[in-house]
Amino acid sequence: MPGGARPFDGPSAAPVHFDALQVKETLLSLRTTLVRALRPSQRAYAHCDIPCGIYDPHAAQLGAETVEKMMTLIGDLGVSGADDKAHLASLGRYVAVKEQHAEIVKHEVRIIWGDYFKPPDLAVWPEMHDKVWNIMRLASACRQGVNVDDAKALRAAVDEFAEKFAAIKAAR
Amino acid sequence: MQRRPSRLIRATAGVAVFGALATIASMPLLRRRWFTVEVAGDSMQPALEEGDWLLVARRPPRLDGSAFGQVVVTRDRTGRLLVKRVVGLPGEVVQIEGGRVLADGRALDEPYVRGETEAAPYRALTLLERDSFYLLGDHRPASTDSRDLGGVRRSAIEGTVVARYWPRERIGRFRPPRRRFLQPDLPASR
Repeated sequence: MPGGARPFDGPSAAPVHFDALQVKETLLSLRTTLVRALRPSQRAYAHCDIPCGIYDPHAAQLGAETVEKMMTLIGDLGVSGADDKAHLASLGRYVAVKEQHAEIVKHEVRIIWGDYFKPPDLAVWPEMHDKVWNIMRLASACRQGVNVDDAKALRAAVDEFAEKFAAIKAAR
Repeated sequence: MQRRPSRLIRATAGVAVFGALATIASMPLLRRRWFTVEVAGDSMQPALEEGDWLLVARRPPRLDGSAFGQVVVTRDRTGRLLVKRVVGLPGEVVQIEGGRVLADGRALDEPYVRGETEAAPYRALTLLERDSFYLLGDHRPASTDSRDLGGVRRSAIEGTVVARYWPRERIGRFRPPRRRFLQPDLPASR
């Protein structure tokens, strides 16, 4: 037939309908099969039994409590002659334990702060970094001096830290 | 503006790549020398994430210094596969002290590590046999490894991780880091 429009020319002249959606579906199902073939059949554990992954502020709280107790004992010790060996021995022990436990507080808080807390947790506790910094400073003050108020402040700060730890854990 | 290839073309390319890999992976000859594992757990972060797919060569690391830093697959006593990094070499004395690993008394500089290395005090020193390695997870506070299990014999190591082939963004070969010490000028004390 010579040129001109052929509006109704039957099915043979209809454009070949390339069903992109169907092709895509086929490819996707093929892909699923391949993913199944490639997926490793065994799991290798980058694992951890105990004690890792267990974070607990209790050790820090216990440390702070011990520091306060030692401060109180030092205060109660009173004054005695310089040659009172029993007195010196007690003082020495209290100071040693106080130093050690203030350091334990710093260590335990640092572990939770560095390894357990993640940036999103700042939403739960925005002042986290300042508060932890404050604990470090208070614990150092407790090592240096014998001021019971420092120990009380440390204990309060560590208790707050434990509270926030629980809140963050619950929020996850 | 750069034109992105159409979704169809991208899908086809993806399928082609997967097809090639699947063909390779299913060839029995290659199966004898390689195997694949999926990572479970987070003790190898940040190097490995949960769900990573790894290509593992069925060969244990060599006994010379080249084993350092390689990520290897072994089995624990329950038969479960483990994936950890070689940190201590055969014949060495490995200590955990002050949050660090000491090999023959020299502190390692370990940029791939996350967290502090802790160990129970009575387990903090290990003398490695001449055929054993000290394996640690990179995510130190969250890993059960040679600190608890002791040295691992070469014969117990089933393979060395060669590459990660999934997820797509992190496909790549594994190259062990070079071994560095914190004070390179100090001679090793024996």
